[in-house]
Amino acid sequence: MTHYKRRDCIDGFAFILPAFIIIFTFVVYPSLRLFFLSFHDANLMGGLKYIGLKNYQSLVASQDFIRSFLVTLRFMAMVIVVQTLFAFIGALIVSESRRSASLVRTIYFIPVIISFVVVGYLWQGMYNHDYGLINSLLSLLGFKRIGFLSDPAYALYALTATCIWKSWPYFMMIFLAGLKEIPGELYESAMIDGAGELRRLFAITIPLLRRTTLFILLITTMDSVVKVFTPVFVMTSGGPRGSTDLLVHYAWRMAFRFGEVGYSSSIMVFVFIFLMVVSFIQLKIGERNEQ
Amino acid sequence: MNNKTVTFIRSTFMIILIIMTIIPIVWAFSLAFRSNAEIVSMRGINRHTFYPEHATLQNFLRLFQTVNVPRVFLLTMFVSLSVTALSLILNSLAGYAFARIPFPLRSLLFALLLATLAVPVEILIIPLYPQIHTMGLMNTLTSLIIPFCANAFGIFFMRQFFLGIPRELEEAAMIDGCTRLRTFVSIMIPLAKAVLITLALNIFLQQWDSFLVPVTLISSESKMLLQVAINYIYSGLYFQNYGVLYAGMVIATLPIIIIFLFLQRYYVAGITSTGIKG
Repeated sequence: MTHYKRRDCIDGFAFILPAFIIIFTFVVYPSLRLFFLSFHDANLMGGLKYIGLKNYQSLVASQDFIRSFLVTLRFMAMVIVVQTLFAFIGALIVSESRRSASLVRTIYFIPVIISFVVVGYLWQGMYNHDYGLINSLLSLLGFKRIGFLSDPAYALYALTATCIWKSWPYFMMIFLAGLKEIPGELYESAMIDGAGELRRLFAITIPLLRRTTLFILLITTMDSVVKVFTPVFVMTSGGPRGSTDLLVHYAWRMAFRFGEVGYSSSIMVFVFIFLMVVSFIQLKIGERNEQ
Repeated sequence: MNNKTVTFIRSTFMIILIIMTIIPIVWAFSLAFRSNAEIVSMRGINRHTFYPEHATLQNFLRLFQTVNVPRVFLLTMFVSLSVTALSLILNSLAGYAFARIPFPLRSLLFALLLATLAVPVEILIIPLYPQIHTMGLMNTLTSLIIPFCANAFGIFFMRQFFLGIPRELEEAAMIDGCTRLRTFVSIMIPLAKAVLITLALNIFLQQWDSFLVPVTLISSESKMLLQVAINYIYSGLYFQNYGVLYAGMVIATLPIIIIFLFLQRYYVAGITSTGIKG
């Protein structure tokens, strides 16, 4: 058994106490509460009635929920693939230590620091059927104008593009940090052996970025499911015809527009379990590749 | 593929990405300086696509009439700075304890702390609302500050930093009879200046951009924060005055772009250091 000094015990707990009071009250307790609420018929003012698994039964039976889950899956898949690709290519472009590279890096990074509310309205303007820049360009090229955010066939893609536009440079920075960790000698000896740029990319860069990539995939999965409330709320409110109603927005709507706190808690419990399962699978695959 | 081709492909991609990033921002920026009549009549691409035909400041005047801009700014500043200041204190205290002070249950509590990273505020907002209501904090600025003044990410981030500092520095001070708190304040904090700026910048920008929490927990217009105010301008557009909306967006974004340009080194350090060790 480790022996602790009395003074260390007191100091240790005293130092973490303020932070833990906050985290217990506003993260741990509400997390347990979420689980608890999902078995109740609950409203926003705290009213409760135990109803067992009813919320989960209506969840499975709800067309809206199924659609929202499928929309979330499609959104997630698109973001994970396209955004990670952009981030990787961007990192390769700005990884050179030329002066211009640092300026380019700064430019790329600007969308990351603009708030999602502003980004949402900015792209709503870009997509506007009449004055929007994209439709102006389309009509210049002789195409028909598209109601990007009003046509169910396009809205999810338009939303996805906006979210990727804002977030890819963030992950570019993480790839960039990973690239810096790769020893330069590896490239030098590969060049002496006559390996071309492409060959070096596939034989050195990509395999050695495995851990960084796994980390990025884990974060991207989480973000693409969870950090999407604001763009949906601002750009489409879930429409048209539910085509962009991602799970976190759907749950928020059920709770704060319809007062169905119990039902929306069960949605969020589902989101949580779904994320745990996906992350676990990603970690397992990552581990297997490690060997 | 020879080196020339590679350089060519690289430059092409670089320029495409720059255009993709810059064009929407410049275009939207130009809308803030156009009359509404000009905006709604924009159709094709011409020499006025990125520069207003008749540049005007009327949108900004209208903005100040629609929303109490100074108050929105002051409130947003107040909330963001309060959360930042409190977070720095609470997170670095806890981060230091986890890095340096041996106490019972330390690893268990740290594991529990990391587990909270799996429940982001987007999920928690549902149970938080009735809880805030029961606590009598509904529609108060307190509800935007207190719940967010300590978090697992900040504690983890500070712990990683303190782990890297040689023990001898503080041991010398402790032998001289300094208390833990004294050692922490006079030796550790000065060493942590750069990481504290990084953390502060991250928290501040996150608060500045915060939308979900204030839009859910605050109902009175007089306590509206910045991002909510932009949404308010939009939903109040009964005669579709886009110019005012874009003027609001410009005003909300310029300050943080300026802060970022000066402190980007610190901000980016936060992303990269956690990315590698995480």
